[in-house]
Amino acid sequence: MSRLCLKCGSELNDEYTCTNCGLKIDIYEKIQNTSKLLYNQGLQVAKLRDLTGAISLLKRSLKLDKNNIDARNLLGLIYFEIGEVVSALQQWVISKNIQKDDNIADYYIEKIHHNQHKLDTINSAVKKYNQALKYIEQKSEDLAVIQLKKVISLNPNFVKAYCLLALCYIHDNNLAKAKKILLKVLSIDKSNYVALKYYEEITSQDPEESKEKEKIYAIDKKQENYSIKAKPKKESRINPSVLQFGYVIFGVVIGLLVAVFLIVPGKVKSKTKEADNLRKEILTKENEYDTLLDSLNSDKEKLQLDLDEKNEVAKQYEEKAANFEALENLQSAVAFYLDNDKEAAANKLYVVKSENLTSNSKQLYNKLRQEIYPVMAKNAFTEGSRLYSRGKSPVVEKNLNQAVAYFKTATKFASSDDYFADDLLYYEARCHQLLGNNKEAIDLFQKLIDQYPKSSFKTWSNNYLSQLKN
Amino acid sequence: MINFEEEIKRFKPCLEIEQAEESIYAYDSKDVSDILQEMIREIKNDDK
Repeated sequence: MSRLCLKCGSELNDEYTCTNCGLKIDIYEKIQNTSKLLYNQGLQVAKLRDLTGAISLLKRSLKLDKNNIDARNLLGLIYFEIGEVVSALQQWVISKNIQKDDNIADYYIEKIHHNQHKLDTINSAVKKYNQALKYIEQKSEDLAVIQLKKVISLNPNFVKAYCLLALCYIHDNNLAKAKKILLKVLSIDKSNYVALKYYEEITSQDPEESKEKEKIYAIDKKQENYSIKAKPKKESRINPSVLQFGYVIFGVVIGLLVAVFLIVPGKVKSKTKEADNLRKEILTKENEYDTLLDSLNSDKEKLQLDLDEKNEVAKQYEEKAANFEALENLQSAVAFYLDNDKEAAANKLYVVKSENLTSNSKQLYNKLRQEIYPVMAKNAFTEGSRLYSRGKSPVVEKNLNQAVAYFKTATKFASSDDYFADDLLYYEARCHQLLGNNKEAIDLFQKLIDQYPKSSFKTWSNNYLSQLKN
Repeated sequence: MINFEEEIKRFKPCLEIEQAEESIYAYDSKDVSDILQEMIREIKNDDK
């Protein structure tokens, strides 16, 4: 045994007690050994992915001996594995402070600091996780779920984020998704208390799962009963040669059992590992898909906004073009009017869309219309009437067709208040009747009767209408 | 049945990188031998 205190390095007295700190060296050694034992246990369970168990053991190990560098470094590594990078850094920095040289914590810290992008990503994941907690506080679980999905895509091992997401899904009664998330947690940390508790709760609610569980329990019970009921047989006298043969058979059976127990678990283990890897891969792909979907949705929103903006601009251009066209037609009409070509002026004026004119232009439009339209309508009516008279007896088709064209022009420019409005309908109807265009004639006679009930042509119109309908 | 309100209380905010330094200084690294030393010191003081 050393003559120096293992804790403070001072001299020991004859009873192996430190003269400075007063610690008994054998007690201190026992404490250190227990700490090492706990570290070994922690390492073993960590290898089996029981990370919660490992954290508990390593924390106890460090409570016994804070200078247990291996325990501290492993604790940091496990924190890193479950996505808690700041806690990991905390352990490694303390470890490096205790033992400056030949310390693997140095390598871990260096590795993290070297990849600034990764560190930023992880920190962003932590911030988003904290933000998700705030959202839940504000009763915005839907926003929290979106945030947590982002957290997981940034840091796919962040166990706390998975557990919180699973809780949100359970709250939303989305048990299938919660279950998937919890299986992911358990693939990272086998004995995560929160995940196990939620998983147990979900499966107890699922009737199919419960049935399966009951079946398993029933089989177990049956086997148990069977094993209890099975009693040893009484010994009997056996021939020695038969006994030798029996030993050979027994040896073969043992050999087979050894082969089965040694080979099959290996195969099962490798298959389980394969399944775990596949599950991990599926979850990663799903997360990638969710992230992609989020970004596509946001792109879609941006594009929609852009499109709305462009449509608005296009609409403004269309309005301006329509205004311009209306103004241009009005200008042409004015030009024709000034040249005393009233027919051309009237036709131009007719195509002007007055709703696209400004108030000043509209005034000019109305004035011009009042000036030209009545003249145009009256002239066309007079000319049409003249041709009708010439063409009706004997029937001269050419005259009647020309008369119809004039009547149409007159209708175009006439107003319903014009004194010849009913005459116009009557003569046009008569032209059509004489030309054999019965449908047009019927429509026009009917229109006259409906719109001008006091017209002097009403009786004639009724008579002709009856003739045409019969 | 899981009580959402109760469960959510168990989730605490995680430390961010900016808080790492502060958390290292605040870390309680006292172990059993430190506690034993304190006890021995107290006993010695009482004897005096």
